[in-house]
Amino acid sequence: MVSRALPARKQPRDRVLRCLNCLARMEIPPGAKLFTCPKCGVEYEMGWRAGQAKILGTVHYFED
Amino acid sequence: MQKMILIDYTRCTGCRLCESICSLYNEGVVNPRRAKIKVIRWEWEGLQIPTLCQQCQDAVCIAVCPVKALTRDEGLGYVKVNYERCIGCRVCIAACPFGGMSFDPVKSKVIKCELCGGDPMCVKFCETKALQFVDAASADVVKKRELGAKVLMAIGKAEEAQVQ
Amino acid sequence: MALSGKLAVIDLTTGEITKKPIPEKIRRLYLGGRGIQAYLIYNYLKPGADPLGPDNVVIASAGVLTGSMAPAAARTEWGGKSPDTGALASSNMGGFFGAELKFAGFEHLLMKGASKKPVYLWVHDGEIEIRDASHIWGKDTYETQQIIREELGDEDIKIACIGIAGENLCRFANVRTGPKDSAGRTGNGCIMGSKKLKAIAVRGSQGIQIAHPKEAINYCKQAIDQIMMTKVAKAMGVDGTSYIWSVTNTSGLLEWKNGQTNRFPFGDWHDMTIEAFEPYKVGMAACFNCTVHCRHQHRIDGVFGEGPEYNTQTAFGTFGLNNWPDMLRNWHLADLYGIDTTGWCNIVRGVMELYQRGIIDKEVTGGLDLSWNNAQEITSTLIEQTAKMEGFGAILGLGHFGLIKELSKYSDDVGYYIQHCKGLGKLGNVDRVQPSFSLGIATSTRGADHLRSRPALDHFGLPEEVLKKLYGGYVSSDYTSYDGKARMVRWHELTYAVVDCTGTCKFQTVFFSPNLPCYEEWRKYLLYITGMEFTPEELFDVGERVYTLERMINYREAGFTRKDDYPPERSFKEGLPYGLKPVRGVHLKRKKYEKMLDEYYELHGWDNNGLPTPETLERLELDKEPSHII
Repeated sequence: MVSRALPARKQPRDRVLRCLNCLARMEIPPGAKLFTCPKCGVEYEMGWRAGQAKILGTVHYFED
Repeated sequence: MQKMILIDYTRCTGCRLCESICSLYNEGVVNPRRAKIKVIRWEWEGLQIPTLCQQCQDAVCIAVCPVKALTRDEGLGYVKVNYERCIGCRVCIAACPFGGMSFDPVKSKVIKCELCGGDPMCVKFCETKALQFVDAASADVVKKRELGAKVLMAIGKAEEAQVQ
Repeated sequence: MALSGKLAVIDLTTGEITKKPIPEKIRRLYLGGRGIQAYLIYNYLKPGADPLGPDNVVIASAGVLTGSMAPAAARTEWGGKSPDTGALASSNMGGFFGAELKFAGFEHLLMKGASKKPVYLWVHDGEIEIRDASHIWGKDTYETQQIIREELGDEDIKIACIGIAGENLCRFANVRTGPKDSAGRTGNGCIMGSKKLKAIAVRGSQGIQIAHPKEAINYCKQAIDQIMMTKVAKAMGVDGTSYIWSVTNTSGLLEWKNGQTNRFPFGDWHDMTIEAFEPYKVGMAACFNCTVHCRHQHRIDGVFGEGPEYNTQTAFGTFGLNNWPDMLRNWHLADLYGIDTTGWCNIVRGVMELYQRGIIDKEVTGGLDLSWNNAQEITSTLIEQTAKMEGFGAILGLGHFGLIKELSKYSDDVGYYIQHCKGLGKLGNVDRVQPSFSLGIATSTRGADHLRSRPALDHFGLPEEVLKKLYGGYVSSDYTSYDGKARMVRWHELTYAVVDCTGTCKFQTVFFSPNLPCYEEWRKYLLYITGMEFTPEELFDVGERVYTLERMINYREAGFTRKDDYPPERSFKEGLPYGLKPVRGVHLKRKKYEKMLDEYYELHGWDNNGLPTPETLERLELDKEPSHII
């Protein structure tokens, strides 16, 4: 039996994040799987958790 | 329209804020033992279930009370205790199938959920909406909507499924 | 009243139990929780006591607000003299134990002396009994709680207990309650084990009088709304503290192989994310009165457990466990035995680097192959050995100081690879690129630890005017800068000390976000719940007093001074090759660090050796300590 205890509040800035590289503000389109920082160009893998955008990782994970 | 406190135990996180607020609002002290709602926890199974008086339409407690201290308020839809009459015999505790009635050693009388005069505090403070105060006749619609939300999430429409 | 929680002094040698109310003077100076505990340690601990002997104390302290309806008023502080570090033992625990302790009429339980036979305490409604525990000695932390509940006939009894790790005097054994809550670090479980104190069971029906109930209820709603509208409350409510993992991993701020690399070397990092944990998850649960519900509930191999947490995810991942089933199973094992996972994993990754470099070999490890890619095979065995203090595990179980002493015969470099501050191992975070985090772990009063002073705001790039207003002076908004960071770290140290006095959860404070409760909110909680009035400045003073007293404890018991206020040497010598631009190749600069440390001491009112000056002691009324008021 899986619990459905999930945060119920919708928040105005659920889709707004800061770039981890340059701290620029990023507004993520709903459901986007990838997103590139408009300021520094780092490309991120995106996740969505209860409607909130999340950076999962960079696409080019620390290439040499 | 009569309302009821609808319990969804799958949303309960076991925080017990409802117990603290209930006892504080109704008895003036934070004491889960004097709350009218109790979260039963099976700690090693990860289950937590809020339980409280179900405000039965045809209440057993009313039927057994020897001094007619219990009556049903048809306005708000709850069973209330007349403390002038209650003698603390606790037959109602024995009779209730749900444990909805309990004994308060400070008052030396029985206590039960009386819906906080129409604005239940436990519902107000329950963040996950494990407790909702809804119209009794359409309580099923709440659960049916939530089933719909589950379906939406399963087909990948998580944002639309956001429960308000 | 909310302030009527008593202090109980339990002498386990004689069986004598004394109960005392907390006088108002102590309340104003130390507030409650960790603050009063620091006072009790300084006053009751015999200077220079053997941490494993009867002159040591172990204290359970609920916060002044614990058990009230303040948001997340759930925390309990544990402390004494650490058998792990030889200095302050201090660890904070969530769950439901603290609230129940307050309902039973007590705020502090101080255990001194030592029992000859295993015992447990039964604390209920103002009464304390010492009961025989020989039938539960040797049981794990789940069974112990279940057996005691059955014996005393009440499923709602809350129990804090030790596992066999504490019984066998593993130096970083923890105290456990519920499925997962722990007073993890600095070995409080070991102190209990040395006193043959297996558990403390509490049950209370006394409740807590609230000074202004109506205002308290209204303000509680307001505070909850404020907390739940923050992004971090939502992230925590879904992913728990593990939401941090994606942030640090992406940035290159996690270290693996004991800090040799910051790119995940054991496979696909996607397998380590909280998203990959989903198949095991069955829900989210909460501590007492907390609306954020940041703890996971999971099931693996049909066994129920709670967690994971960020700390443990990084700790187990850092030395080679690269999948959730292995992490969860080993974590469960550590929980059953009562071993602090952070402390254990920190030491293991250190010895694994020694093994990698050939400084120790199979002869030393008792035949165990400690290669990084063999972690899956040896982890459970090593955990069991540590809990039983057998084999190579017996050396691990000595803690960092003990292990370094034991293994230094093989090489002078052992101290370089076994990384710690003041004997406590650091987390798997890359602190060396961030001066504020580095200063924080180096100067933390319980050893390398982020919970004393982690300035999360440093990462947000907040405008400098905002930072100046908050910290009362210039602080750079660049997290790789040294400028003003001493001020920032000190502010957070004192502030978190105040939080630990209240007994509310740090996760609902400025620890995570500038929008979460801070001084203005806490003084309202205190006013409405306890009736006590404090200005933010007065609360800040309490924080300073508590932090400075902890510093004095460390000096008195372990001689810790400036020489012990440095991050591990690796932080100064090696940069890391990967990560986002701000992180690559960066390490601490010694001259800049020394200057930052000088500023830090000056702000604190300490001399150049890191000790409080006579003026500071007088200002904080610490010159009268030990004052033996209670």
